[in-house]
Amino acid sequence: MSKCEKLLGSLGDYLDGELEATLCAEIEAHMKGCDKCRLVVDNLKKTVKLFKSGKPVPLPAGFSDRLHRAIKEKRTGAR
Amino acid sequence: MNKVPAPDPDASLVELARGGDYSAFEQLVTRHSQRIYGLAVSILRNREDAEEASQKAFISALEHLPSFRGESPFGGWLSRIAANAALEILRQRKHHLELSDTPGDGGDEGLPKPVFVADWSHDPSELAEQVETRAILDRALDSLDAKYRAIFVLRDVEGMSTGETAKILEISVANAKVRLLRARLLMREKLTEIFGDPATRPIHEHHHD
Repeated sequence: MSKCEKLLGSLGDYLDGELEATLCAEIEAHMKGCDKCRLVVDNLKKTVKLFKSGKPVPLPAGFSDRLHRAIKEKRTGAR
Repeated sequence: MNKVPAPDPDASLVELARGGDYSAFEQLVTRHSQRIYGLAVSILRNREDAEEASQKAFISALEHLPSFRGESPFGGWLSRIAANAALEILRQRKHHLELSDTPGDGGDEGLPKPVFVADWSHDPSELAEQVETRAILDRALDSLDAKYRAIFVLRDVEGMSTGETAKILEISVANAKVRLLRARLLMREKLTEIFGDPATRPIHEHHHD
């Protein structure tokens, strides 16, 4: 197994800042000499960032009316 | 240094709602509808189902409001209820993909190895501004199996913790971590194919031993 493949499994914890220091240093040292891994890590960070910064999904027409009505009906039904 | 949690912006409305003020609850509904619908539709990929999940989520929140004591933000509590409502619909669907652990989930073997690797030609914040990006994100979400989509949405879009997510998905924390990594790698592959600048692809395959 290449070093790249070996480190792949640790990337989740690395991205979440939960990787213990020695492995963290190992990944960072490896990335200095490996463009592919450096880009993969960068891609992963950008992927998460893109979804986090995504605009809110537009609500379907009439959604709010139907929602408020459904809650109200359930509420009065329960009395 | 102790981190003081930010005050919950919903706290006063929640207090009123818990005291029986229904219009306060309706305001909370209005405040959170779009976000909750977004969560549901990201997981379910279907408007009708997402609407159903949203309605169930708010009805359940109203029902359980007496037991919500404000130890954590209302929005997060609501998100967990909505996630459960969406997953319940997923589990009910015919032909649907298992959410629980399947063989191969346990280990690092079988992690999707990166194939298309390149630098993205634009920054995520630039991309987020573009109209076409929504359609691309939708396509990327559609390309994932439900189990990967669910964990990616709960962890990386909603910001839920590994522990909370594992509980909601009824899997172990260890499996939640591997599953999320798989989901992120699959998502990375898809999005880099679209946003990656081929001119930046690393040419040489290095073999590090």
